Amino acid sequence: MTRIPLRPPEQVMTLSRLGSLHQCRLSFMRQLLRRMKQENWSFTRPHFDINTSGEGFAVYTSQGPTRAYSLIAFAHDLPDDMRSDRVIATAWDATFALFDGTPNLADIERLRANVPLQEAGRVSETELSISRANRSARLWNATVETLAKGQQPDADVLANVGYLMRTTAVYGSGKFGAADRASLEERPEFSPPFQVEMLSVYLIRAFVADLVEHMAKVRSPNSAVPLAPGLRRGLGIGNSTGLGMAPFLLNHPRLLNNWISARERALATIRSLASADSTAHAFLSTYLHAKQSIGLWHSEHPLQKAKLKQLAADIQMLDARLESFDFTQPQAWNALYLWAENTLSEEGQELLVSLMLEPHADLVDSLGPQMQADESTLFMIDGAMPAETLSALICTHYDWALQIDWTAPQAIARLWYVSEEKLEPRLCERANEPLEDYEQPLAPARDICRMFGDLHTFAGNTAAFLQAHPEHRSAARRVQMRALFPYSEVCDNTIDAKMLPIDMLRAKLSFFGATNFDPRSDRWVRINMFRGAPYPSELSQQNSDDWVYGVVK
Amino acid sequence: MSYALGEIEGLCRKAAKGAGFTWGEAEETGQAIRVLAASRLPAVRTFAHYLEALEAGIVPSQTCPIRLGCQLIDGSRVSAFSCAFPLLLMPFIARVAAVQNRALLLSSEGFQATAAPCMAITLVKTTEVNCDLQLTPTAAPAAIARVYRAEASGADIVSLSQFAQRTYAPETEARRQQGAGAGNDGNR
Repeated sequence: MTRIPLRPPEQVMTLSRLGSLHQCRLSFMRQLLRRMKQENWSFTRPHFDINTSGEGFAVYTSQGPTRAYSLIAFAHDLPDDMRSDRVIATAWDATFALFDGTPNLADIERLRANVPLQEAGRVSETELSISRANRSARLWNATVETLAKGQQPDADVLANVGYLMRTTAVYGSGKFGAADRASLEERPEFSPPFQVEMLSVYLIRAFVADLVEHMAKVRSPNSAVPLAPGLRRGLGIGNSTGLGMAPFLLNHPRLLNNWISARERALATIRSLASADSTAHAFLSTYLHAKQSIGLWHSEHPLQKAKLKQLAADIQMLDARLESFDFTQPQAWNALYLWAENTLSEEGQELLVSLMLEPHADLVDSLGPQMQADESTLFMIDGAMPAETLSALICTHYDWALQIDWTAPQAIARLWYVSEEKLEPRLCERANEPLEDYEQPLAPARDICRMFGDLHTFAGNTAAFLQAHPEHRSAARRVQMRALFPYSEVCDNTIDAKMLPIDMLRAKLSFFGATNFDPRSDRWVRINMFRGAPYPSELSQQNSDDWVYGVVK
Repeated sequence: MSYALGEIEGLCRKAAKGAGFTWGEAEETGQAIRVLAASRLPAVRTFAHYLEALEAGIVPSQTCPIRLGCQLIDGSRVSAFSCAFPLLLMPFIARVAAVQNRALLLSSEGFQATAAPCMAITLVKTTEVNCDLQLTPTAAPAAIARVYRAEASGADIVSLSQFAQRTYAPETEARRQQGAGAGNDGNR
């Protein structure tokens, strides 16, 4: 049987394909839930002290094999006119910290003075993340009101939004004084990426469901009912994410490589399988579920509407193909993939890739822990490399960038900067704003081509080149890194006039495990997390890992 | 106050860029200050003093420990050199020690420190003035526990923040509205 090679970076790492990725069983929230289920984590709610105005605090403690982690949630009574998803907001409906262990009352008091302030507060090394969430106000109010009357909210209305609160930031990795990520790297529960953040959001979801029921109960103690289990289960946590996240893929090349290469290795392994006999049935079952969950995916944005329309067409073609597909043929998975590559849009292709991974837990899941990368030490530049070798690497790996006419205004139309006010990455039109002096190093393709121009006339090694041209140090590091980490670089121009930041957001969020990607502009999105997931109290009864696809009606 | 090493690394990277280093050098600088701080050394204070001295023209840019450090980790084979604030050179020496898998001693009349292959740095005495330095192999120092926090004074953080501030674009209402591309429909 032919061993199928990995898909080339030039195919995988374009922004349009990265912007078409779907969650899969390697996604970080699914890794978290699998681990907690396998290790039989237990969950308690030692405090739930919320008054009739919805103000107070609650603590949710998750106990793993050796350590406990507690979500400390502060609930606030936020006036509607202060509710904003944007990073410039200064108050929220709820604010949270993930605490390392079980907090005592002194810890809670200390955090009560800081966590509600978010960026303006200060936490310590016992906190692993801080975050905040806002209600989806109309749905929240309607749900409280309906439950208080003893009735259930309209299932379709609930499903259309998919969440009662959305987080607007989840900060980990030492932000605002919290524990440094490197201090946690030896804990196996945090060996896959973003497990602190995923655990925070998972516990936030439990808090939100409890809170809405609590508010209904305080409104009408005699008539209120809890959410029906099926409705409760269908609620995830929304998330609003903007440009602040977009540069992540460019700033963490080794991590990006490890995420993409895990998924690509999984795909190549499955495509190389001689037979699809043992897993075809499970695949078809998951496909049915997936089609239904995609039916819950709505967007008003023209960009995403067009993609969803295309995805619907892809699914029709896939339906027809699967109707008569011969799963007994040799290397059937590869045949199916190649058909998709030649027939479907990138949305459809990447959906199929994610679904092909589903029935192959034995081949895929062990790749999960390899998605982490030790970035505590900078990639060391090989100073002995001759300049001409560095030049040759550019020709080999950045030919696509060398083809770009960098004198054309549209090629350098955008400029990334950091705003003074919120210290967040922003994007502007270069021609309209005098911000060249503030440009962030987020245009690697242009910078590498600039270096290529200077390398052309240089004789000597990389060390000597960088001594003469320290401005190319970052570009030289990237080029050498790209040679060793094939999926470390986005193969597109990140300052082009037509570049869509949401493509970068989609790639990262898909690895989180997000669904219902709903752009609100070309640079910020809403998504859903943990929709359909078992709640902490249900996790031990959950026998499979396919909750993300919901239940076929 | 106590800071996460990641916070210090980010602040020093931006401060270095704000002080005139290239982005690539600034990345090395952030990392270097992190490595120094992880060995419980006065990393933030030393770096803040260095940038202030550089700005004031008290130390010449030709004796810059950051640029010299970059040359060293790129493989320049030098064993004797001079620089100011030699403590800032030690994280680079530590990376060389890690590559060579042997401890290295950096010394002069007023300065003495050792870098172990595990990148732990032990300081005997230090100076901020320019000095002629010798780099020699040495016996590995006793192991020290790595830390993930850095203590820094408010004044030093303010000083570095002022350098970092130079990398931030002034906000205008137009940029505020367009830069993030977000409408405010937080109640939906």
